Amino acid sequence: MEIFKVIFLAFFLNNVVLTHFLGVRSVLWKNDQIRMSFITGGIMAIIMIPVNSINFLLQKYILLPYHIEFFQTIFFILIILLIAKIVAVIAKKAIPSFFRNYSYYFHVTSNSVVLGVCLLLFKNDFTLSYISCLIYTIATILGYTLILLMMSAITDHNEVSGNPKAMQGLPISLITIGLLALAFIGFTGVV
Amino acid sequence: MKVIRNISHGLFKGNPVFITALGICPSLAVTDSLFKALGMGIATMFVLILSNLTISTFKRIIPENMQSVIVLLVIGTYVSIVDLLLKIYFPLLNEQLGIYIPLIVINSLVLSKAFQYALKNNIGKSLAEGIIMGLGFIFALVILGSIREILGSGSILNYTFLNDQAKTFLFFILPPGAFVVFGFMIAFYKHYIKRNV
Repeated sequence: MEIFKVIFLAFFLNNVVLTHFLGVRSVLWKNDQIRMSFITGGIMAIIMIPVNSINFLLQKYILLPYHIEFFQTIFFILIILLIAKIVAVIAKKAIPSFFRNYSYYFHVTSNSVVLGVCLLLFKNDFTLSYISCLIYTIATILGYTLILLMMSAITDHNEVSGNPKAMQGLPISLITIGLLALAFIGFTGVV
Repeated sequence: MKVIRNISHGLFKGNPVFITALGICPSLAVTDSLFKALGMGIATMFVLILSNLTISTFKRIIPENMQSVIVLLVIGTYVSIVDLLLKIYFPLLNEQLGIYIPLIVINSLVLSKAFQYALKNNIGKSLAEGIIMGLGFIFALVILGSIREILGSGSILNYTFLNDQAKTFLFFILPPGAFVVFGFMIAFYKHYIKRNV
């Protein structure tokens, strides 16, 4: 029951894009292919699960016992960079054609979902177990992929619907995602 | 005259938030009151200026294949300094801003200025760019913050000008209001300011 609650909270109520505004840039920016949103979600899963596992160990056994919490930001960003680099090296060898038309570094390194979820999970007084951290991470990635999918479908529609010139592109996407966030507020009180 | 022209370029025709859409995440997240927006803007400007200065000073001795690590380490150091300073002098503001102070590390405004400007230009130019872009960022946050605070809670800088029974638009201090106000501001900039460029 507790697990179901965590999944529901991360997926709908505290959706990272709609309530914490993490990764808004990657959701809005030239996101008009449905296939690409699945790929982005998969890459986020491949990167975020090891990152959160390493950061969990780091926070629990190094940062908190020795009282060096102020190094948190630097350590987390270095771990993210390291894992992103390893995944990039492996993927470049395995699927070279994919890398030519996918802006990997834009989607991963400058994406605030990865660091933001670490910071949301590992506060200075955290008492979570590893399993619930992992479940929260997976549910967060699913929620992020859901918003990516919805926005790529809506953006596809918006481009051919003849908006005013000033509204085309980013403004209409922002207003659409605002209405989406308003709809998701309707889930308040379910859990 | 040149100084005024450069600063007005940063505020209007080259505004980092409304024209080039950099740093969307903090400008949506912390603008539900003007005080928070000002704090976030000043913190980001501090990090931007100091990181630009440091990176452009040491750009000759940074190895080509270690650029991203070193740039992120420099920015991360300054963000930690800002975090500790806020914790000591403004504990309430630090609590309200929460995770968005550490997230300055991957703010796209700071990152893009570090990679695309400070690594290629001299110290004076990088410093000037940092100040101009920082002022533009603060200006954008102040506009968004004042619109959302006046409409959403009927006050400005925590000074209330409505009586207790008055109803305000709660929509504007919730997350959806942030998206809608930001979208309309970008459309305003596109229509009235960018077309004269």
